[in-house]
Amino acid sequence: MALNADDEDFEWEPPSDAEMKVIQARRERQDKISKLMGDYLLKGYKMLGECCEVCQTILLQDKQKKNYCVSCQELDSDVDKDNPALNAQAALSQVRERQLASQPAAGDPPLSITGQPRPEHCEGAASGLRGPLPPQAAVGPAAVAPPAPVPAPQCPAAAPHPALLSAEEAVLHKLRWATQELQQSASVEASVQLCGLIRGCADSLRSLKELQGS
Amino acid sequence: PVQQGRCGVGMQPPLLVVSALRAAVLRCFGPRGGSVFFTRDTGDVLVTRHGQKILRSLQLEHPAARLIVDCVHTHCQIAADGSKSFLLLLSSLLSEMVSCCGASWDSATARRLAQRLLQFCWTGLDDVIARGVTQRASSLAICGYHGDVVEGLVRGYMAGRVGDGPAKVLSPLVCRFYQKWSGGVRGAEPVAVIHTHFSLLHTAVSGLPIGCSGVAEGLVLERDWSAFFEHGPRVEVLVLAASVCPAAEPGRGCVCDRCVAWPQVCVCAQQLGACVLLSAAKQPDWVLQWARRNRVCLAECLDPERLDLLCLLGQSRPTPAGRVATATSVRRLVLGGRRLAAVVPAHAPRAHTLLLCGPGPGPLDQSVSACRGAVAMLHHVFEEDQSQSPAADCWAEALGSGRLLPVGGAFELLLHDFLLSSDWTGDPQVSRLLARAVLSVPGALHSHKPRHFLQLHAHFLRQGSGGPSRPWSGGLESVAAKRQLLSAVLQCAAKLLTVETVLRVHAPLRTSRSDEEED
Repeated sequence: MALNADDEDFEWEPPSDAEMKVIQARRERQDKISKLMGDYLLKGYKMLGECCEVCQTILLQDKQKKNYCVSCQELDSDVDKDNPALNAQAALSQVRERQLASQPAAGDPPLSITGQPRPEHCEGAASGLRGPLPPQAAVGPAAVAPPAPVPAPQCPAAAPHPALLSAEEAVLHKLRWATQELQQSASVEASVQLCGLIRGCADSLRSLKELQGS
Repeated sequence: PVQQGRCGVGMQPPLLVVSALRAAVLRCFGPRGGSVFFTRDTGDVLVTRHGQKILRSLQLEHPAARLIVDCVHTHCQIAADGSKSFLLLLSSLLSEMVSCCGASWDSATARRLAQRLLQFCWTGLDDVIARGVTQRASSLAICGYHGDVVEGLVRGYMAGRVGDGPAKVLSPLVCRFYQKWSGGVRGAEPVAVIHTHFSLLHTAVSGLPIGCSGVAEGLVLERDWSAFFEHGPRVEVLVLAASVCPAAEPGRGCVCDRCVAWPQVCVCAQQLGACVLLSAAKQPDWVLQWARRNRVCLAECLDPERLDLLCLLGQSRPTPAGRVATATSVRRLVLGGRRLAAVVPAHAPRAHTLLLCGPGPGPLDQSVSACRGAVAMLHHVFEEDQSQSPAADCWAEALGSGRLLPVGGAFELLLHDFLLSSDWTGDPQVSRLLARAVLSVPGALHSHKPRHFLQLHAHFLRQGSGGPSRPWSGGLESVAAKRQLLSAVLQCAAKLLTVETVLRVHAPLRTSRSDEEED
């Protein structure tokens, strides 16, 4: 598909599916950038005649004469979105993927998310946060736990180590305490820290269950 | 050549610029669009939904942005509206091109495409519209149109221009204004008169709600009478050319070089029975006292152009003291706290003035420009028709010949279908690009109800293939205006494609156009 061929007698071929996906993704990104730029222009930002060196987007300048690149400074770039070091959702998604890969498949139809290393829009991470996966949850004991107060742990068949039990109890106790504090908390900072604590407790519980299960 | 400050040549920057401008104005598009509220550091406030005003208020240094704003301005001077549709069409056309070509883009491709766009614009566009749109429009008209054509045109225009709310007041107002001027005759001539003299045939009154607007009989002179008395059914009006001088002969013992001798005025007033004096200049106080003593109406400091129009409509004749015209009546209008003088010329009984009220300068200015645009739109419906045979009802004739279509996307849908059909054998690439791009306009209009858009599309497809036909009503728009818009968009796109290099020069900018780009 090109306009640079002999343009009198060439045949236009529709783009393939893969090309369509790329075009679509690019168009969506462009739409986001242009919407943001339109909003900033209406707020009084000046559209400069220069482009950003990193991403070639047109620069805006605010009233304090500071240059601003909409895509670098505001939109998550395509790469950073999937970097676990920079994005908590990507980190959770990677953890989940590792868990799914380590569990026996047991003849279940594999979910499309399992095989792909890098979900396009972090769908895997988002659905990981939403709730336990329907078919996989049955395979292992509580394979994915949402970062909410975990219900009473499901006891596997084997007898758990007492140290693990006491550790689990301590973590659950802290989880309950954090939940209560969260319900009463009126400050944003404190709520964010409590949510972090709850997430940490959930992760610890998951690791403990893995240890119990193995 | 040495190039300094080269900024990303290719399609990406112009497409981004157009998309950003489109995103800025899109919120005001269509009857349900909102308004933008601008404030300045000085405290000035501007509330507007007019695309051109919004674009002029943005700070744009990018040369492509300035080029686009200039193209929009040129288009709006010819057509009365369409700045937001212009940006919508341009951005969707460019983004279709980019999706089509992708990585295989170079300046040679761009130049070839620009040539093909212009080729289509000059040779193919009229043919496409004649065969694909006008024919179908006239077959639609055969089904029968409920309601008045002028009202439909004005309603369709106003809804898109000022939104549904003010349109409910302004549309009937403009229709009534036209009806008063046309006096029941459904011709195009009254529109031409109103369009030519619109700046003199309207008066803007600030500080009153928009509902107080109306149509006043005669010409309103925008100032109050200095002395006013009721007079009989027919009065002679003396229009003074200059300030009155008490000396017997002008130029002798008189400091002003142009003045009217007072004895001449007295003679004229007596002989002709002129009991109304109108003057563009300020008259001395003793003239005012004389007028009050002799029950003569006097108005001073008037707009000379309005006086000229009054003399033209009143078929004035020259006298030594000035011009004398006959008037049916003189009145004093009271609008809120403002008083205005009005004169009804005897030889133009259908002359009326549009009185527009608004709570502040912003909304008032918007109403004035919307009414001016509506009149210009009515005038343009007949501008392209060279063979203007005086039809009994020129509006019905315009509808029957396919020059008018329902608002809401009919033009775009018919064009889209025809460009993709086998009946059209023009440039396939350009046809495909344009067909996909034009759908962005009705898509944005009906974005709040996508199902309605699909139903509309299906309805037109059925109509075209001889489906059931029934009478219809609603707003109307002119095919010629849409053609003008498409042509302007294609030419602007071709201009953007032929920009190869952006050179930044450190020279003082001219106010009218930036000198920073070359083809």
